[in-house]
Amino acid sequence: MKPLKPITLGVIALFFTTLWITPICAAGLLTPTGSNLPQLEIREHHVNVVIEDGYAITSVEQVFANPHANDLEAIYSFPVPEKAAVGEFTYWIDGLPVTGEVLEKQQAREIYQQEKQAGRETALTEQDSYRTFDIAVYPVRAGQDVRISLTYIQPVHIDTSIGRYVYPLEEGGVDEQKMSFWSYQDSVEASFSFNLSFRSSSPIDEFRLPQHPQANIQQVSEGEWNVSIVSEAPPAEEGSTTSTTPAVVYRLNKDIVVYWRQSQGLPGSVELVTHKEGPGQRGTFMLTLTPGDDLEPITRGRDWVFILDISGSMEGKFHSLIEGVNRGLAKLNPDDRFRIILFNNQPREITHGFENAIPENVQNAIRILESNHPNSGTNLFAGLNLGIHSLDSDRSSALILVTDGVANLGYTEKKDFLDLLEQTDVRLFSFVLGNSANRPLLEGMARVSNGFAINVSNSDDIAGKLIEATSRLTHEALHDIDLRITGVKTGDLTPEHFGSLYRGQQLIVFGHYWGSGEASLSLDGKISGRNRNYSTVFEFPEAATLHPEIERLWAFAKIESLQNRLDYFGEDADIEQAITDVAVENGLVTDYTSMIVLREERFQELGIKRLNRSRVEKEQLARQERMLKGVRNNRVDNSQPMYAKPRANHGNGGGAFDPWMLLVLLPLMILQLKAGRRDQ
Amino acid sequence: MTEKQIPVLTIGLVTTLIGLHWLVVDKTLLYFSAADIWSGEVWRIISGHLMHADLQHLMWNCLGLAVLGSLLESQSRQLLLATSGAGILFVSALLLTPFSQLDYYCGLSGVLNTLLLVALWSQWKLTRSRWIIILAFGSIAKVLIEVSQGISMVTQISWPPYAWSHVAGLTGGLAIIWIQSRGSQDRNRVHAGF
Repeated sequence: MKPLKPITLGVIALFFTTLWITPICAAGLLTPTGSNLPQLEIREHHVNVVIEDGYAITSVEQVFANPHANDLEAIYSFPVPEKAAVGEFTYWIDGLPVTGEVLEKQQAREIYQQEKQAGRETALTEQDSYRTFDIAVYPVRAGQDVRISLTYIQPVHIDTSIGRYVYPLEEGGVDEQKMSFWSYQDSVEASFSFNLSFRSSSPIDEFRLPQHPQANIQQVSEGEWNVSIVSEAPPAEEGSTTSTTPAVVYRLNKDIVVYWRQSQGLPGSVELVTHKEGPGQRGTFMLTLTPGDDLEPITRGRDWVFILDISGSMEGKFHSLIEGVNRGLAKLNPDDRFRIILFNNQPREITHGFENAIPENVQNAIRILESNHPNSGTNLFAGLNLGIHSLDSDRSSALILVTDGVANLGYTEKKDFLDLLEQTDVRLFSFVLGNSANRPLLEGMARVSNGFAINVSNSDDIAGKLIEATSRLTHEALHDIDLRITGVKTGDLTPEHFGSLYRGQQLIVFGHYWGSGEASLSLDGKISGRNRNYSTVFEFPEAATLHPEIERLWAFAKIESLQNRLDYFGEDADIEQAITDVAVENGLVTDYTSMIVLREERFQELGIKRLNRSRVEKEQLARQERMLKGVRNNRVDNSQPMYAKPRANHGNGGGAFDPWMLLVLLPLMILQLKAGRRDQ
Repeated sequence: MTEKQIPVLTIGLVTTLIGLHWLVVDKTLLYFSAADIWSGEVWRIISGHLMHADLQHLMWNCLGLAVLGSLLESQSRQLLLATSGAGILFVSALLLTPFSQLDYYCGLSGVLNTLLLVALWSQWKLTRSRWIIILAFGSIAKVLIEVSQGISMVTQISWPPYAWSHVAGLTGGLAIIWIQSRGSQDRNRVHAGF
């Protein structure tokens, strides 16, 4: 068997709708289809998430069991979480946890093979582009278990006062070749748990898991919340000796999406989290800007070009797509104009040029759309090209792209798409559907066009996503953003280009700093051609050791930035080497690096330095220290607020009768009954 | 139980709320949205009050409607209809003004406050119990606290609380009481030979 194959391409498409189809495959253990290899079991799957200080740390611990008579290799695959930096991988060897080290991908793969052939314990985590993280563990001894754990870090974004965390488990499944190669085992048979611990100084009104009503949500204290889902097999009856089919306590086939809503009226703010070992050392920072709600609604008429994927992978979702487009068109003003382009192998327009968004035109367009059937491949480039060349340069225009994003016909290289979008001044708004969509491509295109890409999971609250998208599209945006920090030396800022900020979006910037003291922050941009400046002052600390993970987050953002450059300029050995160097130095799994675990003595024998082990130990100590300290407020613009207005919120409202009202309703009922008796 | 005692209208309304919550797949089409109403989706003026954000929201409002609706319907079905209509009118009027600043609104609680005030008034006329005064002041005080604090006192629903809809609902209740009082005065004048 080859060490690791890229596993699954998948696409789950959705556009503003609730009608989802059952996912084709999910996270799970893989076995080659048609082989005689027996399947392993996932005995336990435990997820622990800590969200605090602007980022989430997710640890996934699993136990794989081999009930068969031969030693086997376990291969576990799961979708790449959004902007996840995998920096910790542990394999229990002889009952003791051994932390992995990051090596160049090919080298790690060869060592894994070598150890496997020698019959020694080894484990490997690889990234398969934007699709999956793949874990291989050898051996799972006959009749025994193995335990592994993987930890990744992600920045957490708040959008329009709503926070969102996704533990991705679903995959799509449009790559038929790969789909037919592997069979999936996604059942957890003994114990499953998901525990999310949340700490924030911003008051939170509510937590919500739209697709997991069984979740237990508890506010532990002011600023601290816990969310948990637990499912365990019942204990075996005493004296029972009969072997039964293993119970399935959980299926790893549905994303776990967690929302939290900040209280209304919180101020726009600047938050700073830093890591610096001490004086004279280089520091790392994460700056989070949550703008005030000062972007006005757009009232002038605009042109909208809907570019819709009707390739075969959209089969089963097509009616949902139509419904979504119908609703999208209904949101337009009569002064707006629209046209609709469909694409599979080839693109074609179903409208006759731009049409005003009046009900009659919308109904006609929908009728024509309904007469189509999804089939064939995905020539995304041709669809986009036709959309771009159909624009009227005299009017403000936007492209709405709904696709699985896995282009497999015509031009398929990211660079071609970026070049195409650079030629025209038009905003592209992409709806990235499912975990297996080509997010880097869609996000890259959105970035160069100053638009945005919204990721949608099957487990998302679709009404909320619709409201989020509408809010962004119907308000002005801050364009041509320029951010400057003076007073303290800073560098290596990432992202290097900030593009545009839409209503409710945060701007998260990573960078390095040298020295300490008061710094001035200035953010310039344009709103509808008018210059706008926001500024504040804050302190960079001399030393800060509570958040060593910030270094990895910076490294991940830097790698993303280098990867974008690579996509843009094509293959470049220097950039690839730079990515590898940053990843190895910071212990990150990427397309160019993998994380390997060996027996402790083998690390020494192979001359592999235990750099990542030291980093992991430092991070674990910091996590313990953070747990002991109270909830921190990282806002740094208190003395000179950067934003005059409160942050944006969705502007929803509702009210409910509540238990207090029983105090009124009950006496009323009693009085009514008494009055009734008197009448009788 | 006689046919007259069965609160058919109330049962129908509660069933409608539950049915809409479970059967409507895309609730965004029915939420109250001033922008969409101005652009022609006038059904939202009524449907917005009948939609609910989540189960807890639905449950408490159904309970409130069951009790208050039965009370009012036991006196007159027309009274329940008129009171509900006034509630919808006043709450919607508020939500359509720029003052509300809401993009979307849902829930019957604004209208329930109209029903509550009219139910209290009806009971006051029947019983003259001092308890009614206490209950009325308690209800108004609760709404005022919610408005001043921007909170929902006990229930946590998935949408932010919008207590001003309760104020609008209470105002609708005052309007019904005023109309009823005027009607009573006119009838008294007729009986007195004016």
